[in-house]
Amino acid sequence: MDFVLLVSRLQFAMTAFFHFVFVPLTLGLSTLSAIMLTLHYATGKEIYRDMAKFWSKLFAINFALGVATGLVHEFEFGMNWSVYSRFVGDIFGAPLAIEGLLAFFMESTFMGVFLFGWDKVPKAVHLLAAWLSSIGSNLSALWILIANGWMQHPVGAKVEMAAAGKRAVLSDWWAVVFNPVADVKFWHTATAGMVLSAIFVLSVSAYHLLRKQNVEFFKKSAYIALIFGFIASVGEIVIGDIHAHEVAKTQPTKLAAMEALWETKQGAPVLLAAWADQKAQKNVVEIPLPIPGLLSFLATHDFNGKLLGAKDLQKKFEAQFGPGNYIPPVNFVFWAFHLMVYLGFFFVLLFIWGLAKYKDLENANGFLKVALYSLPLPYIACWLGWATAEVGRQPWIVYPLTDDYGKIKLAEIGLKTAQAVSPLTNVEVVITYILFALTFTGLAIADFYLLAKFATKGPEKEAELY
Amino acid sequence: MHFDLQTIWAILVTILIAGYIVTDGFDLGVGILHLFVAKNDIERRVNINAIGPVWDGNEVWFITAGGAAFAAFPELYAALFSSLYIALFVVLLALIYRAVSFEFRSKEESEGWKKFWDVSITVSSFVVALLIGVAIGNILAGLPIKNMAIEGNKLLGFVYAEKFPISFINLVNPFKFHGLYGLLVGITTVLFIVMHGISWLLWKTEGTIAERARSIGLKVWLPFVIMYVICTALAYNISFKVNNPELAQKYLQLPPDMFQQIASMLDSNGVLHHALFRFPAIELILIVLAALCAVGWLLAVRSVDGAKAFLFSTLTFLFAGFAVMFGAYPLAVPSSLGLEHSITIYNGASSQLTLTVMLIAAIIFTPIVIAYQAWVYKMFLFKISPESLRREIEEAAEH
Repeated sequence: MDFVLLVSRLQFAMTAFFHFVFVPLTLGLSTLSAIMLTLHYATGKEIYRDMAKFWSKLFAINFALGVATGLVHEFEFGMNWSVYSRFVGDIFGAPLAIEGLLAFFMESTFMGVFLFGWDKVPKAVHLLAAWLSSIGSNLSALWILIANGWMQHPVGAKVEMAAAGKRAVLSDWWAVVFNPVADVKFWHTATAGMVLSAIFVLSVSAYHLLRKQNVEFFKKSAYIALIFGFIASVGEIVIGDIHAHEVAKTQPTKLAAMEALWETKQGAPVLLAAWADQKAQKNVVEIPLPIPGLLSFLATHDFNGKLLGAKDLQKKFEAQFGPGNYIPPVNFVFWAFHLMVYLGFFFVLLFIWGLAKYKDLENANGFLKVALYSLPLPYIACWLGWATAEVGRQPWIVYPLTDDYGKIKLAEIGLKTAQAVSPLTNVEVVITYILFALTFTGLAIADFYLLAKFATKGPEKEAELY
Repeated sequence: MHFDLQTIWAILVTILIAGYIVTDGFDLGVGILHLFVAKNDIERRVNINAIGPVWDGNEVWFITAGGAAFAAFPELYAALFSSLYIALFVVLLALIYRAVSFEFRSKEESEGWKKFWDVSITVSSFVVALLIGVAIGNILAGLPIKNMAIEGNKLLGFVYAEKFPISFINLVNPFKFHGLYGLLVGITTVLFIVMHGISWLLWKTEGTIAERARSIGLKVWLPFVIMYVICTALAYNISFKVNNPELAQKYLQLPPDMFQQIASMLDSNGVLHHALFRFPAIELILIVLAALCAVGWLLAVRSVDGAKAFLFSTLTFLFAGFAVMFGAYPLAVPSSLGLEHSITIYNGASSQLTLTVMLIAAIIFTPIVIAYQAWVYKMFLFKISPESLRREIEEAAEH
């Protein structure tokens, strides 16, 4: 692979992964803090006030880093992917701009009011600010995922020649906004943020409960997290299923890799585990779930539904787009996807277990320990999900518009990742890659350190944020 | 000027960039001044608290300006960001360190920790201000970009002709015109940002910080005015060459009368003299207004009137900024390799449909954003001082 392309891909993936350390917590914890503040203003109880203050402080530390890495993310499109940016800008740029205008201003402005407004602004304004900030951060995710969804399933567009070359242009705005792939991606991501934040609150609470510190405070926090998390994690599985169904229709090569499906099959089973030999185009090991036709059912809603295998898809894409490799790395995508799904089920069980133990939570040491050490798991699940979505899209950066389980509807809009990279030099990408890697790592360590410091300290009162 | 969608979007993107410089500008200024107006821990905390509730909201202007440029002028966004790769990277790093410095500084008690982030605040704010100016100066003076479609490539778009490290060095190379101009505009921008930061500190704080800010303000005013005059005088001399008028007509995609107007100004060698001063009367009025506002700023700082100073520093920038936009119109990034290779607001723009959709969104949401940002500002515009913070800490300790 071309060096600039390789490093640009690594850099973008790295930025995405670091960004997604901070984002899901922002999405969910903003909502949780707003719920706590609502409880405070509704009941007048001081404990909810302290809770909102405590959890929103952790949220603030996290937010600054989300903004910083998000800024890099937005600019990297132009910096490393100039050909992509000019090719798709007519469509892809619009949701990004609207995200800033509609959502991001709202999120950050009202977050300032929420965090700095204690006792300084009227109660109703303060509460409104907390909710607007939470709605803003989730709206922001919606617009970003509309942009991302379009790369996966480029609806509402046509291709034309312009003054500086070929490009995709908008033909139907509402098709872009109501892109089924984008909308389901949004719900999938928003609920992931809720599950992650619930586990974050649960895990920090477990730490204190294990030490019997501030028992009432952290028991209440854990209760809110358990209920919130249980609803979100069950919702996540339902949404995940709808999402996979959309992928099957619109990105058959991704689905084939997610399920290590080499041969075209009717009534295909779900594989619990598999190991593929990509060159020989077959699986060396496969352990199917003993429910016949389950994969066909999940993907097509028919136990006897036909799914195209990677071998036939490769032939089909070669015939349409010329020689090349059209199947993403199967083992990587299969395991990223499957581990994410297994974690998703684990989270549901974790919340059920916690709810069952709730009455005597401070003494349920077994549960508390598992909850404490589960903290990294939802982060890993988020990363695995993104890895599935974006590696599974390869070799395309804009997937040719496909529907009905493999019918290519607009081939010329497809753009390969290898064509999309900026004409940079090796030195440039190496410099930025190394320095971003060092910076992000440093930030993540500092973030972790500060979060740990304030999270383990407990709800103490402080004068100012700075 | 034509009132078509491209022009409206050129104005809107200018407004977003101006919104960024007016809002984030003052907190960058407060950041640059951090080590100089605040000398002890309490003062430094007050200095950060002066911008605490607003700086990240201000930074959203940058993100939105970036997004709007991406959506309305994708060719510009793609070409500029990949061409200025390392420079932009440095800006991003500086913005990251700045954000983190605010967040982390007061979260540890150690002296060394605080000192590190204090220095980081000043340095990163300075780097951002300087490089934004350097970028604007370089773009105005013309960059070596090439429209690859002219050479038959159907996908690459506009590409920078120089390669790293020459490409980066030349941005601040005083022996290259665009580098020299970039440096001068960069320094002018830093001086302006410092002035704007002073306005804010006079408005928002009282006591020792405001006193120091005022005395620095009285010192930076004259250098700023001198630099502004130098930049304007040099801008008058910027010229571009058209190698091939037919290619220019085809690839710049200007409306015919606009192209004719520019073509009629070319000399016999195809050089467009005073390229940024094709409408001298209007531009001169804007420049004089900018200068008058700068004088108003000085008077306001003398009389320690923060609100008035803020108004005047804002107006100084707006008049100067719109003079620049007006001068460059319809060029977005002029090419020093031949004007036919330039990015204009026409050949760089999105389709009419996208521009229309975005315009509707902008018309609905921009006033809402400005309204609630103004409202939040009003809410947080109570004065703070080292004394008030001390009192607050004592009160919290009693609880």
